[in-house]
Amino acid sequence: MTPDTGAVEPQPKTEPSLAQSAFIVTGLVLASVGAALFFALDGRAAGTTWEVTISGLLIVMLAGILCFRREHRLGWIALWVGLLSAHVGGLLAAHPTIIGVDPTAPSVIDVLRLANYPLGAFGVMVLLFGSGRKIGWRASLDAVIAVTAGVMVIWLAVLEPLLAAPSTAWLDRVVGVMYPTMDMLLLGVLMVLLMHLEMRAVPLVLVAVALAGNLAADVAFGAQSLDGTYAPGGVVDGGWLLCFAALAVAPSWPSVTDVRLVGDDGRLGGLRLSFLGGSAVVVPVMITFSAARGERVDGVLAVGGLCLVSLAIVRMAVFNRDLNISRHEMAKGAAALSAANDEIHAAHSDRRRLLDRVHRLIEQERVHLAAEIHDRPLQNLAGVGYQLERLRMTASRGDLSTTTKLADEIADALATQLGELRSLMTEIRPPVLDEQGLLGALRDNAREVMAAQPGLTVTVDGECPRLDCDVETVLYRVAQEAMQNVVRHADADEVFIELVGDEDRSVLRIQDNGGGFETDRVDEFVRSGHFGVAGMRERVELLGGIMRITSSSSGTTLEFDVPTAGAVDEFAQIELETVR
Amino acid sequence: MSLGNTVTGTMTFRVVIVDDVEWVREMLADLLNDTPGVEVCGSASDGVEAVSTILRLRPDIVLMDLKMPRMDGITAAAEVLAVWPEAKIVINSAYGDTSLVEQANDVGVVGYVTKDQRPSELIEELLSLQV
Repeated sequence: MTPDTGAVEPQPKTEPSLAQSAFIVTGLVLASVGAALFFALDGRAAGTTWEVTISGLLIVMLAGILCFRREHRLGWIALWVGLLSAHVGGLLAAHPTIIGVDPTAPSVIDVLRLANYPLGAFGVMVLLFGSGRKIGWRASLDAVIAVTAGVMVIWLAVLEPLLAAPSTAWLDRVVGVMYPTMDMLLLGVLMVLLMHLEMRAVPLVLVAVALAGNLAADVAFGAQSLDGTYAPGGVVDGGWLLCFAALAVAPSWPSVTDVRLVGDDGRLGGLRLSFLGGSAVVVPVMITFSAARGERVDGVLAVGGLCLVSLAIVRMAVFNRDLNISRHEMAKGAAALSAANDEIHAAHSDRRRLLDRVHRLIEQERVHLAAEIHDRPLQNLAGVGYQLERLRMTASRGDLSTTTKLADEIADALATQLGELRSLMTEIRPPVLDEQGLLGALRDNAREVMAAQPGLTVTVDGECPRLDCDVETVLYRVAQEAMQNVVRHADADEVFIELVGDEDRSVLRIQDNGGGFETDRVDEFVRSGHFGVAGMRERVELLGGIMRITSSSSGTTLEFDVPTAGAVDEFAQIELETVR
Repeated sequence: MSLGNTVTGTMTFRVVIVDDVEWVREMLADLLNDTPGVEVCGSASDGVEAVSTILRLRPDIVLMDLKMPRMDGITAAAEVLAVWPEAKIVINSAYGDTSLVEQANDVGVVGYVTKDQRPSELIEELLSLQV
């Protein structure tokens, strides 16, 4: 059974199941065989064939509805009851003795036949709009145009001659007028359906085919009846048979979702344009034919023509307005796209500048390290080497006191050099960061900053478990950078550093009482080569964290909020390694 | 000109030490002063000071560091040699890159000793210049 999951189903099923295929094939075979026999046979046999075929098709349709249509079942049932009613009417007309009525006079047979139309119209409306879907007013306007044209055809072909014909009784006249009126209703429903139709919605397409077949057959029947040329077994019966056959297989066609598909209300597709074009020329063509035959131009036809022209003008105005709106929206979309493109370019450019900066910083750091090694351990070890040479010389001279003195000096010098090396190592990576964690490292850094800046008080506070190594490194570096910024630019005399965290998030807050800066100028700083703040942000974002800045004339607060477990993104980890 | 003056009957080198690290200057001066036949007659802590000191003292040998503030050793050597082409300048640096050695030779220095060599080799280099 086809799943009935509604309009939100992303991939409507289009392949019929075995049961659906069986129902569809049964309906088509029944219709084909029935039609072949009906058109081949004559008289009573043809009539029986018709009755059996239509009955069979109604059974197939009912089975399809009960098996495959859970949603909108009311609509399908209404369609089916309408057809059943028409069929029963036909049966009674063929066998009037059953209920003892005169088939040529208005009777319950006409009621049964006419009931088909409102029931069918109701069923189609339920199928189309039963899910609360709004009726597209543009599509409806198009339907009204097409219906007006169709009504003109029915008027001229059936209704007008019928009204003009002499009638013996008012009931005959009423019943006579009801059939073409119901055809107009049918036409209206068909047009609304066509204007909302999406060709992929095959069950609805089949319903449209059925309505069209019924309508064409009715109009032809009306015209032939008036002329007295109607004979069973002709194209008129073919149209009705088509109606029954299409509706018999429609419920079994796969995918309820397809039924819900409707065309875009404002889009003028090929089908709609064809109907609108055809509708526009119908009345002029009819008037032209009337004039060519030397007949008087019918008043209703003239009024209908005027209505059609007015409706067409309104439709053109609506179309023009839609076009202008589309053009305007496209222009707005293009502008938004262009702005977004510019933003992407700017962001890309910033990122590239930042990466360049990172690479340059790495190189600068190496240069700095090489200079540090050259200026401190290397030179000092050379000095120790000179002392050792002196030691060797004095020892070879047997100058014991000088040798002893030199040995002491060398021992002192080596101790000093070890201290220098430890200091250099701390600069490269503070061991306290690994041994005591971020809080300890921040406190050491604060002491160093205060020693170098006597007027500055740095307070470190907080409570935080040991963090991921990457997180501690990044937060330590951004804190170093922030402290450098405070010393260089903030003109502050107090800094408060706070580190708080739990298993989920860790937040480092650095607050100073300096002069502050304009936070919206960070991008401008990057473009002018000042990467401090942007670099901090980039480092934290690589961890999957965020940086918040608030700044005023009374101070600046930087807040780094990062996941305690560190970056979860493998790519970010790789970038982090590169940055370090 | 005289290569040196006479001290206790032997020829003595007069050496000027140029190095920006004070401790290195002191240790090297102590070593050379302890070396028979060598006397440190002056020192300088950068290239600019070195040029004036050398041209003023006219030592027999100059031990010149390369990387120094204000003026590097090669530039200082070039300036000294431009005024006093007979100056004997030995580069004594932590850097031993081939291009630096070639650059120093092009300027006209007489020797190049890196600081990772044994101090005795430095002294041998100085003594070899006595002839």
